[in-house]
Amino acid sequence: MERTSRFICTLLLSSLIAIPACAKTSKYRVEQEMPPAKVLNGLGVGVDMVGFGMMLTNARFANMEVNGRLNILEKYFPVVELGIGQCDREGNEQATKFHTRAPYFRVGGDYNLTKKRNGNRLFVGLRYAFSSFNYDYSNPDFGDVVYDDHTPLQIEDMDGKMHWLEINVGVETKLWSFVRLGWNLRYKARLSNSFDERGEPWYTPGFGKNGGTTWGGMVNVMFDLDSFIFKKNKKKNL
Amino acid sequence: MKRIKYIATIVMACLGFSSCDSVDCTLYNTVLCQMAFYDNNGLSVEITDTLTVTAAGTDSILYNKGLKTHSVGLPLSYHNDCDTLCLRISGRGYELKDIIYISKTNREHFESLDCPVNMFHEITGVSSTNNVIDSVRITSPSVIYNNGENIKIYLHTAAE
Repeated sequence: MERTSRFICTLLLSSLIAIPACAKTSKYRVEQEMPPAKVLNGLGVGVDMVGFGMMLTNARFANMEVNGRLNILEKYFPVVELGIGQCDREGNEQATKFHTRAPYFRVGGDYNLTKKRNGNRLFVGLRYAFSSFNYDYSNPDFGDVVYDDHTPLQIEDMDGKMHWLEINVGVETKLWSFVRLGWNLRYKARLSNSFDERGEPWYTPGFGKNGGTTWGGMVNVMFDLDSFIFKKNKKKNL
Repeated sequence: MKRIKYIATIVMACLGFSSCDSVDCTLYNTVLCQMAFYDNNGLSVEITDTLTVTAAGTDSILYNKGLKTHSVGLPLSYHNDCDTLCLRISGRGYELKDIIYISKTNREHFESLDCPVNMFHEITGVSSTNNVIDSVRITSPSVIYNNGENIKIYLHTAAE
């Protein structure tokens, strides 16, 4: 009896010591045994919520865009972004109105800085962007006071082009199954632009308010197409 | 917990996006065609008598009773292809009159949505009657903000 009780006590004590040790070992094993990411690890498409939000709230301008990206080794994410930028704005001091609506595109990539594969990602990235667009200016109050000639001003279809670079940082997390949510902050720097001699556009689609540099941000809802497709296949097999 | 932190960060970032505007209009908010007076030898002269400039098609006086004038800046019309300017030089008991015809093209110029729209001009030709004026010549055809002299007006020596 005494031997039996000693054995049980020893077993309990050793188990108390062993469980955390085993847990550490198993966690270590899980991290060690995590299979290396595949070269082509996924395909995703996403949509920027900020642009649509700005459009719905009648903001000064809105960039509505969708994007697609590849996941290579869970580290490199080549990205293509396509969007439509629109702006209808009237000056605060003058009655001059500006209008444009045109597509833009960006191509580039993100690099995932996180080492753990727990659904969260921290990105840094670079994009090249381009937009070719037409823009209009109008002013119903425009007039020649000296010569008493009040002809409303309406200039349409002026040509504008712009090339720019974007540097971005962002985070992303897995919300549910194949749905991911993330945001990024972008610094945009103009490379070159051309515009009508009568005046610069107030806004460039995809870039924002015209200038040498500007800031932007996006809130992306992403869909991992591969996990969605695989899940469907799994269900079919079951 | 980590996901909650990430989502909270996203929400904070959305709330934090804001921007501000600044109005940055040019100081030169009028576009004037600059004309300067010269004698037959090309030397700058001063009209000591009273100079008044009006334009055909408007009651506005573009330059009113200027004394000791060696150059004038005059607004051109926004939409006409040719402006007709009437120069009157008057003294005690006399008035001399000449007409200058300025052919031009016009183009609108936008600085910013919050700045006034202006009209720039490109002078294509200039001629005049010859009572006081001997001849006129284009120096710089572009009539834009603060662009210096656009037209030289050579006066008869006798009229100085």
